[in-house]
Amino acid sequence: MKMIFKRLKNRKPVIAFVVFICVMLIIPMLYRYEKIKPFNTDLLNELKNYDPEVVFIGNSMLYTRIDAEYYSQLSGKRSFLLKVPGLTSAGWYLLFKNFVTEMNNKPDVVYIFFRDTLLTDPSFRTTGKYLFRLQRISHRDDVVFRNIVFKNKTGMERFEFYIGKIYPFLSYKIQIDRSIKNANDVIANSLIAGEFSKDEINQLFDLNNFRSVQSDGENINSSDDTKFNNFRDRLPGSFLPLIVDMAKKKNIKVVFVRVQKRPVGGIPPYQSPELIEYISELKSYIESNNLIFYDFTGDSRITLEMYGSGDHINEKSMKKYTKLFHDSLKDKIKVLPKPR
Amino acid sequence: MLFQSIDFLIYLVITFIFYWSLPFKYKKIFLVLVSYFFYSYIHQWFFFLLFTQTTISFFVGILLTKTSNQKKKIFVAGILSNLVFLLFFKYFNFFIENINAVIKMSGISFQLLTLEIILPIGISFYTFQNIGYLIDVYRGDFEPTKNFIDYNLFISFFPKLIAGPIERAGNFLNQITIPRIPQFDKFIAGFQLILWGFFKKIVIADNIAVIVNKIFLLKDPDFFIVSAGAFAFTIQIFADFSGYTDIARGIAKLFGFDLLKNFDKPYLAKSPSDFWRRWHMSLSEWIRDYIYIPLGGSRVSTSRWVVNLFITFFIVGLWHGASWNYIIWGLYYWVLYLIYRFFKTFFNYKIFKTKYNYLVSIPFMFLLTNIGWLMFREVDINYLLQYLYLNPFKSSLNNINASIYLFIFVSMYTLPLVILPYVNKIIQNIKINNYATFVKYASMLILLISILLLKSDSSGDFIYFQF
Repeated sequence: MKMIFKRLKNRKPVIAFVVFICVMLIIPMLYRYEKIKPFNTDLLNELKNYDPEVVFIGNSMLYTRIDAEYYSQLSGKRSFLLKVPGLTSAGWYLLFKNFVTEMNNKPDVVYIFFRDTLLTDPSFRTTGKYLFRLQRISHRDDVVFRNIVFKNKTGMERFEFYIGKIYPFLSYKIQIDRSIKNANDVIANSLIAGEFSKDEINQLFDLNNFRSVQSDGENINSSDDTKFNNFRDRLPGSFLPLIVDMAKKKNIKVVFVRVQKRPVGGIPPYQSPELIEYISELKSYIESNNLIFYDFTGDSRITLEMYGSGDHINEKSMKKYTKLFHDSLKDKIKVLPKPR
Repeated sequence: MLFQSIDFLIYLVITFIFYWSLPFKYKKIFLVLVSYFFYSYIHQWFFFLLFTQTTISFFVGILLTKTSNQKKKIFVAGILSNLVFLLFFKYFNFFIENINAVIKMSGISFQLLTLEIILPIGISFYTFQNIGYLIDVYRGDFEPTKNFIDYNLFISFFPKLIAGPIERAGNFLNQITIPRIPQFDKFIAGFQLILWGFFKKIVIADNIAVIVNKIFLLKDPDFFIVSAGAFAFTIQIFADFSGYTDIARGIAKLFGFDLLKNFDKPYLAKSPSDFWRRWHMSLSEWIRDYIYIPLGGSRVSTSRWVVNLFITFFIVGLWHGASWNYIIWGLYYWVLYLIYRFFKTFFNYKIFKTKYNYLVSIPFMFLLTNIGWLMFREVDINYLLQYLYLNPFKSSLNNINASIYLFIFVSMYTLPLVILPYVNKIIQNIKINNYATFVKYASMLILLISILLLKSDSSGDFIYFQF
């Protein structure tokens, strides 16, 4: 660098530039805006007060499938959905660790709903708006969680992470994105006769309207990617062993429920040989730890008509799915009710 | 190595520091080595391909000046040897698939085998540079370089290797021999271009790409949705490609080089010929100088001119990709040229001569450009034909509303493209020196922060990488 500097003809503007950069970069750093969301104690209290015997953990794959109230009626057990939209294995781990294990009375059984390879994809959906959601269910001392998420980040994600540390105001990005969308809505509403609803956009881009049924971002980025299909390689760096260890230590029966993705052409979705092998190894791993694995993929009772957008179940089929779920697992999950 | 990756950032910083630390005589060889490294990083075998084509063209260039009786044969051999690589890697399967389609139509069950070929990224760009150089030397317009390193740098210089601009020997090789010293103004100009290029790519193009990708996946879109998709892609491709060019030109400036300009407000074009003077200028000028004019250009009979123009636009389309939609897109401009010429010649409309003709001609040409990009974007010919027959009166109200929403969304991201060049012009014209420096730096910082705050969550490759 010295040599470059020596060779520069006119040093004055260089000095001005360096001073400028120093000043302009330091000022934003002084603004310690840290938008860390506080832990959601309300949710924990709600869970504790409800004192459920059955807890379901998952994202929209869960809450578009299971009607907790109806399940309670069917099973005769108080059921509770611990759900956070969009979150995957990092979120499920935190929900298990910071909520389920903190309950005064441990539940009889915990169901974790997942798709394909997401149990071993730890950094998936851990940035941007998902990070805010993760912050709501994590404590500041959740070091293991932070380490795993960080270790699995790409180079650019790590770079952005550090930039975000230097300039905390960058966490405004989510609000800015939202503001742009809101501005879009306001302008659109002023131009469109009558009330404009975003549902019209959602309807337009419903997966049923696409040429070949495409999966949503979750699948495109994980399940279909063969790099995630090597179970043995992915397991050690993931949250799955941590969930399994906790379940064993706390003596909680955990059932990992693989949901079926949207059927294509009336038949269950295609599974690559790598994915089939992955699922087989995942099943062996879970069962070798005395936990339960249940796979709904290929279940002919779950028909295309039951699906809403993407891999979600439509509202009117929720009860049907809940019943089907209950009937499928009632004999397999033989757990004695714990004394309360 | 993508420009928007951390790998490239590290690569660029290291290369920049070493480059300016080296004495002039080592600078060139260093740049050649890092350029080959850059290319091999994408795929290790690409190195050999690039090196082979470069070596052949270099020696053919020298041979052309040493022989007079065999000159034409050597020249043709040089051109063909470059074309063979391009035809094989880019067009082999396309030709086979079309032959198979013809065989199938004739009822024969026999089918030729296609090969699994990886398309070497940037091959169309560096092949055209090699060919352009050979033509210049053959015509005597350019004295061939005797320095193998210089020629290698001309072809492989990493900022322009993947997606241009398609450099001319006269512009680039002449710069190589001039000693370069670090110029702070040039560095700042380079940084400005890089930042602006990234803004176009990861804020504008990538945010709009989300909409474009969804619209062009729809099974049964109606007229207004397709129109919104065409408009969105029109903005996306400009932001994407001109963004890449700005980054490439900016990086080149950091190393003391000036690359050719590739865009000149293409959507303000008044006619198809005006559009091609403003869009991908390094390609259109290449095509003009090495194909259109040698064919006779417009100084021939009308029928010959029509044929010349057809060949030219067929090549323009085919250059972009081995797919019929690109050829249709190229020939669409051929038709537009003919229609414009027809109206100008036979009707001599007064509107072409009025002072305010741009109020009509620019929006009209923009509309035609949108239709062109629709052909460019839709690879499936059946869908393309379906789009062209869509009836606007059969659209549902829901879809009209949705398309208005999408138009607004795209327009919001288009605003910086319209406003910022003017703001930049104002900044450049600030005369009071003390403030000028401050404003320049401040604008760069604002741009950097804007990129970080507005960038799309998903960033893809540059569109022109596939060509």
